[in-house]
Amino acid sequence: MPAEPLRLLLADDEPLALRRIRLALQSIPDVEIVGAASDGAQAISAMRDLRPDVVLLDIKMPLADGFEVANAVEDSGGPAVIFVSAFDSYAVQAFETSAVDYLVKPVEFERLASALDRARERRAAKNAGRRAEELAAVLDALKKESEDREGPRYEKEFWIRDRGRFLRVPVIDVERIEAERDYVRLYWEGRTLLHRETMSHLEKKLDPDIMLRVHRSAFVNWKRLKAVRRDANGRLMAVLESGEEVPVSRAYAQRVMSEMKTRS
Amino acid sequence: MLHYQINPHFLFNTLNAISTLVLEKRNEQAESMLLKLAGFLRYSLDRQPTEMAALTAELDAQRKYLEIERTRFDDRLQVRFHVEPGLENARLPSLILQPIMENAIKYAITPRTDGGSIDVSATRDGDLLRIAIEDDGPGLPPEGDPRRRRGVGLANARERLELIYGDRAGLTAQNRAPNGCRVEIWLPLEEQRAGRTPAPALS
Repeated sequence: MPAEPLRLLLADDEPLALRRIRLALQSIPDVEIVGAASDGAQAISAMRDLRPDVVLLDIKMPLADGFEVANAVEDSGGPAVIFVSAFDSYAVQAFETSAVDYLVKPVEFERLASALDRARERRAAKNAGRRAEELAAVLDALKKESEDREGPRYEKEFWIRDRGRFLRVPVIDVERIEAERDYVRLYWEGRTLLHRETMSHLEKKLDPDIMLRVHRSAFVNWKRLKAVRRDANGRLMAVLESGEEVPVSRAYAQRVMSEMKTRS
Repeated sequence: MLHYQINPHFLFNTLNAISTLVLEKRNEQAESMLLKLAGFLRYSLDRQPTEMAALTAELDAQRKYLEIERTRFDDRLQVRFHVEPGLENARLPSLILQPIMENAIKYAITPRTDGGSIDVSATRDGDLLRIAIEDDGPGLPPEGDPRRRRGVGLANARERLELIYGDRAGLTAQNRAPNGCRVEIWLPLEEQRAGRTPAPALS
């Protein structure tokens, strides 16, 4: 895909100076002159109307000088500024602005081309940044939309590598899950399966209406829960249909109790 | 500081304009502008800062300067000269008019997108030579206005006249009705003898 032409606005109060810049630009590929202003006020309004990528700015101009025009850049889509001046007495002041370059008249054509290359790089960087932001915004909007439509998306099943094949394990059929270092152990249809996953990650992926976290290192399937009791030591235990008991930690006890009340 | 120094902005902008004409292959115009610039530079650089000149030579250099400016600003500038006959050889400090012209261009012509005009006249008033430079620009800002920097160039010219002539010469600047500025200098009317005569030493 060919590069999009760099859109330029020229500003100089001397017609001969404008003509020379136009001539110089004829030898530079991928540029398009979108407008020319002969004083600072014109330059500011042209910037706002035409939204150029680059402004080639003379400094001594009637109505508003080049620095005043440069000050208006932020409100005008932020074109890159290249100062073009007869003498370098303003160079220090110019570099205090965010100008891309400072050229002296008569401008050498190659020097102009390299200044425009810099402006092109800046535009590319700016566009990349803007596109990333746009993409992030689109993703956020899509996510929000899908959540609005069907609630948060939870995993319905695990796919577990087991002896050379992948086993499909529906979440609803898992009795409980226990942490085991970097793995979790799934208790499923009378057997256990190791799966590489962390507890905190799982908590985000599993529907809390199915898998209830009862401990830093355990989930139990709500549908398999038969009772909650205190053992001889006063610890809260979740009793499953299979007879297995899983400790409920202090941190999760309150949540487990309130869940039981709302569901019973 | 008292003698004139070529303004680098003027010099490089003029070179830039000539370059444009060359690139456009408008050779006659380029040549004409180059000759005017050469003539003006020769007059400016060729002299001691204290040197005196004949009125015609000074006005000739100023005419070249103003014509260059007119070309740069695409004929947005009109210039008229009125010299009373018989004053051709009147003596005056060389380039005494230059800061006055530059001021007129800077404040009366370039800030206006529709341009303007400058009138230069030289008259005899008894034993005085009077030279007036009038523009039709916005005029002088009020006293005390920080923009009254225009005074700097004029103050230099005034000081130079005073050093050479004492109270026999002077400079005034005032606004014109309905608009514009009039700068007038007056000095003793003296004939320029053949050859160059140095003015009384400044130091």
